[in-house]
Amino acid sequence: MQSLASFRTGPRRLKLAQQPSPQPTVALAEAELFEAIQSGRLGWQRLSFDRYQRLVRGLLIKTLGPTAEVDDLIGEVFVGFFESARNVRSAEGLRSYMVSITMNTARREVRRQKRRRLLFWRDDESEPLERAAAPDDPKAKAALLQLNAILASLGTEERLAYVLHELEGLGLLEVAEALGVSHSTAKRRVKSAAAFVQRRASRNALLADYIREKAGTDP
Amino acid sequence: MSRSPSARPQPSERQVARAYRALADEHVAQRRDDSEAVWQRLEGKQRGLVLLPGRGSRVFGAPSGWLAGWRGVALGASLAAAAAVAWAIWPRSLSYEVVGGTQSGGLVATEDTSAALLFSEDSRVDVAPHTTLRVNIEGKQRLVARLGQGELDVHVVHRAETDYRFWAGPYEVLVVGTAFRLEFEPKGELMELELREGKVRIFDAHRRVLEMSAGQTVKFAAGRSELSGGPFSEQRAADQRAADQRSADLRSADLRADESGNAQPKGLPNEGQPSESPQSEPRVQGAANAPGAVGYASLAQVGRFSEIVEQAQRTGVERVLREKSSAELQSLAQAANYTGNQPLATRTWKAMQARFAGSAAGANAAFFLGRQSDQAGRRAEALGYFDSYLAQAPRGTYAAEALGRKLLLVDRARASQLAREYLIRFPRGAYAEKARQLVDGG
Repeated sequence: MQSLASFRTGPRRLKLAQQPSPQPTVALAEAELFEAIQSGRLGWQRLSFDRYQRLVRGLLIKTLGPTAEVDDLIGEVFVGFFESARNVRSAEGLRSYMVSITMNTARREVRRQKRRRLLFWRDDESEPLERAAAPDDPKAKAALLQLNAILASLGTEERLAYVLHELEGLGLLEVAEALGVSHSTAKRRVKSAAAFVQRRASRNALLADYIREKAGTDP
Repeated sequence: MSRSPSARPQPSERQVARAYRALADEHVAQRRDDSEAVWQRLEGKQRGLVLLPGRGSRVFGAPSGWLAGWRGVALGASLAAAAAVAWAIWPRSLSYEVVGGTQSGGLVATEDTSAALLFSEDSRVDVAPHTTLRVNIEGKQRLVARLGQGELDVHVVHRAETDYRFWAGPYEVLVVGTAFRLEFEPKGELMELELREGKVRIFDAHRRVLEMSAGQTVKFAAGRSELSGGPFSEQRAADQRAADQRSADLRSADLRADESGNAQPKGLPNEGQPSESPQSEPRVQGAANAPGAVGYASLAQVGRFSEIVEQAQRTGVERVLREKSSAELQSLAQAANYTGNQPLATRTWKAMQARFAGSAAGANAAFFLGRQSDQAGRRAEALGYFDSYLAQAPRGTYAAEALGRKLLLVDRARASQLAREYLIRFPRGAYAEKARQLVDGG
């Protein structure tokens, strides 16, 4: 277990628990990236982007839904990362740092959307990702949008906790540290969010059917 | 398709999370190529260059929204307080979003793949392939959907203020909170409704009412009904009279809307007269006696495409093409296309091109002609029409589709160039994957 040192810039001062790297190649890639960042090697930004853009996109889509804003937000996350990546003190801390920047960006976005809704009495200007024909299965896209709409009716902190624990598979300790709350608070938020999402999803017969088909027969 | 509500278990928390994760991961995987566009914009930012305008076009790192910084905080707080009060008491309008299929105004059509309508109140309608559906939101809460042909899978979440009505030919289905499958075939006026949950009321052409409960199925064929799944209750006479009165009111509203020249009348469309025979079609007021008196748009709105074509032929196609408005001609072309009368569709679009040159209607006609030529395998002709459309409406409704179709029609060298243009303009468009293949291959 290692912790990150203080950051001059970036989200907030965090001590993130490190996930043990599941594969040696992953650790190797992060060690290489860390070395590239620290030495300022040409192209370290592109290396970081290639390594983490999928993680960042996934977190943002899970938190905010498939909106047209996601690409812009990915950009914001990486701009923040490029400005402060040198402050990360270990290779193992890179992923956690990226997660925390992403979740802070998502939190800001959620608040911005709420502010706009309050000010303009309408939904945020964000457009769903595609209004034109797209290659996605419409049923899958519809289910994703509906699940996201359910998540959007949660409180911001509950939403973030649910995404990190239930959708991204982080342990409760890691969720607690990433969100800067106690373990018991993280646990309470995850539990309450999971129950809420399940209840709301069950109310919609088509969505519930789809979920059961998608998830198979797992109880 | 028959699913009994009592046999339906609720998904567990774990299943919900697993499904959400899988859906989000699939979505991300499908957009793995979008990363290059994001990186290019990031690079621009890193170099301090002006960024390519993109969807949303918010510049990375720029303040988010007009309330940047602290300057707007005081004003924002007071506005927010006022807005919060209004938000709490203001009635919300029903709205919906279409996923998949094609949408033009309130007309939703699917070809080989399905689509879904997601409503702001959690209700959802899945639209099967080869289905046409006209959707109207009336007032704040009433949905009126007219199934032209095809099949719907409907789930309406019950709320006190919501009023959902589905029309299939002469049959009207009033929904409270329920889940059902609705199928309609206009040729034989075949309607089938399988009710899985809740209750619905069905009005037939004579305004007779059937109340259905969960587990029941009803089939109508040219006015005759076949019921299964349990006893059906007939509506009381008083309710029937009230329903008739309501229909009369709405017909009057329709008529007023038509008389005022509104191409999209708001009220419920045409309903059958109690005195008509069981086989009679529901009529738009005045349609039989005065050909051409009722707007094509009104008929298109209720999915009666063959009637539009017949009316035009009775009036005289030449005269129609010379005198009707662009909206009416668009409805005629659409109707001709849907009913398989391609020559009339082509003739109408060409007339629109000539009469409304320089307007959006004229440009759109070029697109539709191009699509028709493309489908018929006349590549050079199709390209000409798409070029014409893009020249007239470079940012038009069909620009992405026209450019995308061009990708598939031109030679490889030109396609690669077009693909780059497409990816810059429509990085998530329907043809983006093909465009990327062309760019990579080139």
